[in-house]
Amino acid sequence: MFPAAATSNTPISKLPFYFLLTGVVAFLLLNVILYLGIPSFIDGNVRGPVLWTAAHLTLLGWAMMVAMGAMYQLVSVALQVPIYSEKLGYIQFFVYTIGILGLLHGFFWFQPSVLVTFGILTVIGILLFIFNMCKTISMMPEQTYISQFILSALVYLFITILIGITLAANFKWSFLGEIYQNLFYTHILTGVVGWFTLLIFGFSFKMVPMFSLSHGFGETLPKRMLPITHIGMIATILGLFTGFMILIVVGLIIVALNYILFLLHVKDILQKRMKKKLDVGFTTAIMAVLFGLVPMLLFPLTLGFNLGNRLLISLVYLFIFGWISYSIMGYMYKIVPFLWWTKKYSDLIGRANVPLLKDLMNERLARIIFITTAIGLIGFTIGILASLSSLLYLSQTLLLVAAILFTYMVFEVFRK
Amino acid sequence: MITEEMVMQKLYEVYDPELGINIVDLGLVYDVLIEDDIVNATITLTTPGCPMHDSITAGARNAILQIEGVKRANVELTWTPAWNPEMMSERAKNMLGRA
Ligand code: HEM
Repeated sequence: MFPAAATSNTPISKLPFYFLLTGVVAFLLLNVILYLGIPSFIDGNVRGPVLWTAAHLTLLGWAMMVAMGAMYQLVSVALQVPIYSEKLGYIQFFVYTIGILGLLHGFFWFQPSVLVTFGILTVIGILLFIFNMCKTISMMPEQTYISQFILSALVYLFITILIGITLAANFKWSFLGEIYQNLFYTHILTGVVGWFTLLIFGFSFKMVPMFSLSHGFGETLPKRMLPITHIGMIATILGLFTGFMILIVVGLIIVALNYILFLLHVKDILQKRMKKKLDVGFTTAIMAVLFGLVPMLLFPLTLGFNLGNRLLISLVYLFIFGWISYSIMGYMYKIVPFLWWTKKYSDLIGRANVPLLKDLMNERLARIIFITTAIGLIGFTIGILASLSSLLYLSQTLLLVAAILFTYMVFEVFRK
Repeated sequence: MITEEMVMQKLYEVYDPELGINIVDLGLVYDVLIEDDIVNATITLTTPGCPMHDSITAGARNAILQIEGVKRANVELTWTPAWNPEMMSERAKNMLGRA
């Protein structure tokens, strides 16, 4: 028997809490702002101040905040190396948060100078994060497919924010000309598919077996997936820039194929699990994979057969809110109690009775929240598609109520 | 006299906070060695890089130290042999819903 590394990798630090709690506040706010965006969904013109604000509040304020917080906690766990610099993490948090606040202001009131200035701050905040993560990953004695997924995701993040700031600069100085449109579509593709989707994949490879207590599943699928993703992404981007629709469609089909491989891998893990009853947070994360499957399969068809702008918008909505945001909600249900438990009870274990993780969350309330959210998401997607204003308002009301309860549930953990 | 039984008895009180099952039934305790008032235990975890890494190791140490007469408890974490579900007791398997 060889002893495992004796060093402690689990930092009991406050850093992840800063990110996660700021993320939850953004989550609440974005559900309010989306009301203001409903008229834009109705008239099909989604490229305007309100939805730019809503999109970036969702992706940068909520999803990215939580992703960063979770990474500061979980990278050390999933990859078994300590974070390169905690201090840089704090600096990064403040730069990033101030950046986003100004960025959102710039989008909402359409003030290009503010957008560019704070956009630069946001980009610096993210660059510091990328640096910190790359340094951390480079300390691993040997790369695994999980760390390679995370590195690839970080590369797409890098591309996304560089394009983002270029687009913002163009609002002010108008220097890009026709290439602007291509960059815009690439920005969305690399952001939501390249960065968020690969990141969630990477973490799921570790989390899904851990939460379901699964052993003996195959690992060839995930090892094959990464090159396929890159081929699909590069083909799509080349298509976007050269204007060859066939290349875009083929690229997106490859990306969709890759998503199906992910689904098959998750299915394999779950079939070999020991823990029969999965909790509601974890079930939600799995449900999110199914939500994401719909747009993944329909993107190539929608573009290839030109099925219309409205369908495309509803699919992008479902992808961002049903896949990215809903997965994050589900994983929050696992991550927050874990962090709090580690902070408050890990010293007491073995000495006194300590609560279990599931005692920290109200499972019944959570079930109501996640089901209400799912109904709201489906309703909103159909609302965009059918241009039904009343359905959009009704669905967004469900989503807002669920978001309020979700915020309450997360803050309640800290009282236990 | 400290016996292995006393140690195991105490380790039954250390729970995996995620699964809600104690570490003995989970089959995580590989070895217990007693030399006078020093207890050496070797344990594993269900997954390398389990987030409960430190908590469970510390929990086992705390529990052993509560036994009267124990001066020192060394808890060593090992990944070899790797844990597998067959190491669980019938009781643990039942609790997970898979006998
Ligand atoms: C992970 C990071 C990011 C993601 C996933 C992302 C995603 C998106 C999405 C989905 C849109 C479309 C919104 C709409 O049409 O209503 C968009 C537009 C835009 N983004 Fe980002 N974004 C990110 C970061 C940034 C950053 C850091 C900037 C820098 C200032 C930025 C600048 C822009 C601009 C200027 C537009 C508007 C383009 C237009 O409609 O003409 N983005 N982004």
